[in-house]
Amino acid sequence: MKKTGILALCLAAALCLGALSACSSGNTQGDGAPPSASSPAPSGADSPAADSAKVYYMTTNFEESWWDPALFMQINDVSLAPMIYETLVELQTDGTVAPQLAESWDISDGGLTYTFNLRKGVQWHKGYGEFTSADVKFTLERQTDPAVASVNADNLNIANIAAIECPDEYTVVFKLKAADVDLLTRMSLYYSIIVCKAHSDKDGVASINSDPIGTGPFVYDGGTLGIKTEAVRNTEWWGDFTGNVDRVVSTFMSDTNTIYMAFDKGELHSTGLYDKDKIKEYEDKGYPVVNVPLLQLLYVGVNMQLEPFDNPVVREAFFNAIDVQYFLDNLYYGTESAVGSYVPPSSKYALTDYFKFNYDPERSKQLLAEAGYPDGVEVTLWGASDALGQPPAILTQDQLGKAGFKVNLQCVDFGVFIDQVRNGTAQMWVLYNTTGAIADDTINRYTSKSYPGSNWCGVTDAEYDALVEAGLNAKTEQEKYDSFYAAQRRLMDLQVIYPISTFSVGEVMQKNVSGYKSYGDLGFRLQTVTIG
Amino acid sequence: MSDGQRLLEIKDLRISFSVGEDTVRAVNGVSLTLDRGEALGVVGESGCGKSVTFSSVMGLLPSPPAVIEGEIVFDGRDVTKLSDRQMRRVRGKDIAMIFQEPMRSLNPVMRIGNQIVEALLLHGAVSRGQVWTRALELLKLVEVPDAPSRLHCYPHQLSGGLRQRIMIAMALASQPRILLADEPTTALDVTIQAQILELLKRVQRETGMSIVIITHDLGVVADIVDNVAVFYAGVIVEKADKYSLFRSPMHPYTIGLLNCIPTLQTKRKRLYVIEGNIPDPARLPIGCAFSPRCAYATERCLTEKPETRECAPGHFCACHLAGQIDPLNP
Amino acid sequence: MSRLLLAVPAMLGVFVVVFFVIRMLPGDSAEAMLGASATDAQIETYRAAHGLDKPAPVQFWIALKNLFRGDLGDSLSHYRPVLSVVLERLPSTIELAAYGIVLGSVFAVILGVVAASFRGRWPDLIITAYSTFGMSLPTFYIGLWILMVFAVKLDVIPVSASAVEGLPRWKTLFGPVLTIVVGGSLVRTTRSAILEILEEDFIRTARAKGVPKALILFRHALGNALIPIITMVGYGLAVSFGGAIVLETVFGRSGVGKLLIDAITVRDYPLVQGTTFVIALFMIVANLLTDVAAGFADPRIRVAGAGEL
Repeated sequence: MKKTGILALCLAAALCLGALSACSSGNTQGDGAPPSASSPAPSGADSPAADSAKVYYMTTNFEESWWDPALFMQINDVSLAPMIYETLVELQTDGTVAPQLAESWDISDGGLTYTFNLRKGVQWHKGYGEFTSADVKFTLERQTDPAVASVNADNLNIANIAAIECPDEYTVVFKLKAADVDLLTRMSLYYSIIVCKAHSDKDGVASINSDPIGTGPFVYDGGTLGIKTEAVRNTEWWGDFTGNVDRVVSTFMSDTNTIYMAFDKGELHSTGLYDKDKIKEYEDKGYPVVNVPLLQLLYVGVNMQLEPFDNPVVREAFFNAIDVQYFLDNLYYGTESAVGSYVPPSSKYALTDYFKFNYDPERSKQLLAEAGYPDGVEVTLWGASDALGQPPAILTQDQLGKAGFKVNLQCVDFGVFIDQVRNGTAQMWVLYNTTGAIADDTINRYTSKSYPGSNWCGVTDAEYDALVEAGLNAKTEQEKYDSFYAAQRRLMDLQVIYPISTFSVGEVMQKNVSGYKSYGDLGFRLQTVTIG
Repeated sequence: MSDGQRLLEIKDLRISFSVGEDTVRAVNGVSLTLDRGEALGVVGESGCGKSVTFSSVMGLLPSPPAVIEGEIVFDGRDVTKLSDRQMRRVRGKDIAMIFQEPMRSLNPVMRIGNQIVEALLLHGAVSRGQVWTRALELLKLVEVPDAPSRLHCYPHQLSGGLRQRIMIAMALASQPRILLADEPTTALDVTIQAQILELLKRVQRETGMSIVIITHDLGVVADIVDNVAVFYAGVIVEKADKYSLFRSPMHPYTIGLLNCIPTLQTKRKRLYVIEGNIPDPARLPIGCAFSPRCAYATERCLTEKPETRECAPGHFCACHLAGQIDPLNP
Repeated sequence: MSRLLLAVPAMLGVFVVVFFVIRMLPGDSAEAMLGASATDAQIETYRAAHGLDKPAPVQFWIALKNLFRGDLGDSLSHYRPVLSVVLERLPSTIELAAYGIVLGSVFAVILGVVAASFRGRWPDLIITAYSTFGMSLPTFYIGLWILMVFAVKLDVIPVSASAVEGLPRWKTLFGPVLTIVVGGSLVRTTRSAILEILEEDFIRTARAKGVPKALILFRHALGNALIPIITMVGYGLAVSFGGAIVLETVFGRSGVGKLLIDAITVRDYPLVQGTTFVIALFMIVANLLTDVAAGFADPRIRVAGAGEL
């Protein structure tokens, strides 16, 4: 009968599609076993005794689709990047730098000449040769190559580098136009990741984006960014590999429920927790949870170019309207702390002891009345619509409401949010602000030349501008500190940014995972980690 | 014409359904016989129990919810006691049934040929290799023009008359001994009606099978049947050969029905109607079911159910006043 | 044939509408992609590098020209041709659609037929209860629940099927397919359709012919029930191409649905454009297939020329 014919056709079509899919994805070599045991035979390139290979399963819920560090906006843009790539120097948790690809360095000429003595015998992954000064020069010069379209030229302060010389294979000399007190710190951050010249020469500019070649403890072993990426241990690494991880698999998972389930079942070795309740839960169950303070802080900002915040009295009212202690106690369960400025304390140049929060909703109402709003004032508060951004937004709305501000809360898609704040049409917003390891960018945002644009608060204060300028051009670190502290004091006095608290993530690990180390640049690395 | 051999005997059949709290008595003591080769016309208004009676002959009434009492004897067996599986061997094979709306009675997504072949294969009447030839023969038997191409048609591509012919062809597939036709022409045009009835008559004559034509229209039966049974409220009120029935009806209901048919001789300005409505089968009158509407009803009629008597040779009637009413002057 | 021709203006229409609608969303690529901490200089560099500073009509013209050359442009967030990104994610979606919808439909239809044939008795009650339950729960919830039961409690499948190496295909599909079967309304549709059809006159004819119950169910009833079933399956198939985002999120599959959502969030215009174009293409194909299949199932709606007489 015709009907059976159709059914047969459909089944045949389904089988064909199945066969097609079998060709393109996945292999069917038996069952995959959960990783908590000492594991399945990996199909990796250079695995030692195959039956005892240690595979580390991690997850990420945010990943960009490029491997080129010139396009990175932060170290964890790509989850395996910190393990594959390296920089000249390594940022320590105390803010100092230690040797990495550079063994030692000299600063001379009043801070205008930096001579780096490079480590010898460091090999690029996959046989691309030895790491030399040519690679360093290449990395820096490509920042201004339009084909690369780097967003990090300013971060590297490339404009300030007059010349890069390579007297020999293991020496590179930077000649600066003006002193840059933070050059060494810059050289330790994600935008200074050294990339392989031989790779670019051989495979083209685009290859840096699609195929990462680094000098780090792990070698890229295939996958797709945003889906799943893998790396195997670099047996030729110059450094001290104290852990036992042979292979790391990073899978993209966006649903927190699924992530928790996978972790509980042992399919993941670690994951980052933002939910304070969850952190507590895992701690109570005896799992090690490492608290990693992030370069972020929660703040509420206002635009002083818009009513009613153009009125300093209203801004003062605003500064009495937020109950920081409540946030610390009830949103963060005491795991975060109040901050002294709009730069988080983990960032260099953060002012820590100036601003003190003061919650006085009655005074706020009083001030509003003085300012001509005896019945309170209506404002629109913008926030992000994701799971992380909503609770603080709702809390803020609630508190402001008790202090005389009638808040219309708009939690929106990020693109909409950024459009509002950059165009200067948002009166008020609440956000987790991300800063660099050096506070320059954050402090520089609120200068007049950045309005409209990244100066969401609409600050056009000549004094602030001057202080920032002085700081950026400082000849010594002390000068920079002084100028930046003064600038922060000035901006806090303007009362446009209300910093609420620090923010951190809890890395929870399986009980059989040990040796995890925190790095100054917040990169997630596994060379010291031992499973089992 | 019948040759006297008894094929089917219904003995005191009673069928009721419980609907909510009421008991609907659809059939209340029906007895009749069908001989080989006999053509019986069954007449009555909608809801008088005629379809239910013959559906139960086919075993098509799901029971429960129907409660069936009495006997229906076919081939020496009481089919009311047979299981569904046993009944299936009878259905379509020995007794076949065709229905009222041929468009809805044919599977719209199956080709005609396949539907006929299904009937043929079901009862092992014909071997696989022969089915299509046989199907063609059947179509020719029922006078379907251009039969070979019609086999590939779907029901919606054919006219009403053709569809009914095909229903008949399907029913005849395994040469049944009895054909039950439930309102076979009601949904058709008048001209087509005549054709179908002619066809039924011819088929019956040629194959010698018994046929029961169930209808509400007396005119339909006049030509092709031998005997007529008149149903009212679940009982047979009168049964006779057609000549006796038409010439000398005895039951007031039958008389009324016959008077309802307008003829060219009808002199009245208004059409004759039988006053009142058929009784609610859940609440039947205690006495004669027709008594509330009967112009001649006596006290006895209202309280005592009449028995069926043979009032004249071969002419049965269930009325206390049978034979006492002048049909020409009701 | 005319249907296929109509598809072309439909696709063009999709292209044009998406082009302008996505650009109506506040926030441009640079801002959305680079994040809140981006400096003005970074945003400008990005815009210049990707030609975002050209006026919209110019961008449209360039995109249109490229479309006719089979070039869907380069993705802004992936730095690769859009086509390559989409093709990479397509197998997962097709796999889900093909196995999920097809297998899911087969199971659902069988369950529906069983429920109809045991109407009122316990198999029907169980099946109807479960399908009502499934229909009223959000897909997300069903998916998580299935993970909870089958991955965590029973350990039949891993929670994160994509993370584990060398998993047999059925394990990666188990969760999503089961979710589709549980959450779909096909069981109910089949059951109702069959019950309705069983009341039809031609079923009475079939019984009168002596057709056994099983044959009545599967040949006569199901044959007619295929019409609404095919419509629903076709709809499910078409929708699954773009709409499987929930399944993809819960089960960690990287398909076209997730690709589209991410692309919209970061305002990756060419990728949004290309992805919707491909999704539209598949939906049109799915609809065409449904129509053809429906034509097979119901000769009354068959296009003239496809039948005979």
